[in-house]
Amino acid sequence: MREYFDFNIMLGKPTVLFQNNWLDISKLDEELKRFNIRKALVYHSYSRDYDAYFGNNRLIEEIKNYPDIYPSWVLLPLDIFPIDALDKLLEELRRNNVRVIRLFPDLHNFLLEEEVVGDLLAFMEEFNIPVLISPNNAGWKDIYNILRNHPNLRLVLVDLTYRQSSYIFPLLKRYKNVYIELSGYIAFLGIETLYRRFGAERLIFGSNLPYKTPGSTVYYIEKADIPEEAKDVIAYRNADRLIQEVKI
Amino acid sequence: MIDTHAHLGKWFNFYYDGGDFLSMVKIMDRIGMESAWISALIGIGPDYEIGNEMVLEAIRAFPDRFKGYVTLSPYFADKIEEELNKRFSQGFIGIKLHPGTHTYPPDGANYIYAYEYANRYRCPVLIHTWGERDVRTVVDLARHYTNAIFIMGHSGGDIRSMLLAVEVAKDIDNLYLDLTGSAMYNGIIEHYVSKIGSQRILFGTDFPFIDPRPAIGWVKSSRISEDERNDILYRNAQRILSLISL
Repeated sequence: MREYFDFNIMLGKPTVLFQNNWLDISKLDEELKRFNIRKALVYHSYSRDYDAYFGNNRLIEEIKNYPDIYPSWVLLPLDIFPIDALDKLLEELRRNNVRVIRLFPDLHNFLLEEEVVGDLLAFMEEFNIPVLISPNNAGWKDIYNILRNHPNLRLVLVDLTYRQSSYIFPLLKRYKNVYIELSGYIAFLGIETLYRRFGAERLIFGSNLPYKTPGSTVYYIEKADIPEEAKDVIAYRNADRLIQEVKI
Repeated sequence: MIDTHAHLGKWFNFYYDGGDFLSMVKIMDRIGMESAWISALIGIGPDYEIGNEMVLEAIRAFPDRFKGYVTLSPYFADKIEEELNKRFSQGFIGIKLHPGTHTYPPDGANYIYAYEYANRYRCPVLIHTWGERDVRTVVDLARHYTNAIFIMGHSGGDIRSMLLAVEVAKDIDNLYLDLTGSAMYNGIIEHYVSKIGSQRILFGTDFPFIDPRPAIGWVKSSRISEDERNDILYRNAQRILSLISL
């Protein structure tokens, strides 16, 4: 059975909750085992829905006994974040082994303009730290804009939809460090099309747990008409490489 | 597997490879999908006649793999009787209505003839629903036309409407809940089965509007019994086909 590295999971209770569908660490561990997900990258609901700093610390505490679960911190522009300088941020990221960050610009009311996040994104670029953004939480023009200003940024687009190929293809063509997390990109023959046009190296498995089951993307990958080697790369190796290549 | 909510062709505002019936059969073979009940995307858009012709071509090319829905437009109400007679004589098995794209209410007067027709011949009517109002309207229609088989497309679509749908559909035997939808909410299949059992839930994917594989993975990994899963994946669709008296 193929091993997976899930790059898109939320831990904790969200503000809007249906059918008690949320994950504590033990339920998450169960789900990971069920789908042979060996490693996972998670962020905390409190970082998104309450306070980024509070949620990030909570995340570190909750996953401390799970070495294969990696933290993804949610960051804000440094002007409005308790860790207000890049040297302090680097120290905190090192201390907590945080190798990926996530931004929610629309939800957290900030712009992806140079004046606001330019220093932060340049820092991420310098240290090869992947940045996760959902285009549903930032405008496509903003995403194009930050890549123009930070062309080497390792940008992972998460929670995409099947309607967004026209936005995605030009970015993959132009920027070698743009990655696609697959849970939402369910366009017809989407995996085959991305593989044929751009190769497997920038496609990443993610589930969007707890909102979706990993079973959907796992089945999509397993039944894709691409080489088995490419499936291994998408299922696990790309995510693992991104984590390993961080230079903190 | 029988996909009771599939399409054919292209959509006007986003891109995907393929979409013709050959590309559909190729992927159906790959995943072991026995058949798909299709309506053409141009039919739920600007031209029902071209759409129904495209469906006819597909079902004639692959009669075992495709079943056809007749798509109707409320803006050509005077043609509905003629179109239904023509298409059912050509082997179509159901009616597809898309009040969303046509911005026309599901209980609008121009659809009434279609419901009466479905009621007469006990054939399925797949109605796109999105939102709580659509859910309630389809429930009312199913209560009124008790001999027709209503398929509530997307079961209301958003999570709140899907949760409402299973509550209000509980005691209506001629109303089926369709799982088609891009969101594929984790846990909703288990919830539906716990509320109404597995015999009025239909598997659908919107394919090729959306790839069918994620939805299959969703159903296959849901925490229900194999017997319940088989009801959803194909047995309920087979039963509906056996009920049609055209």
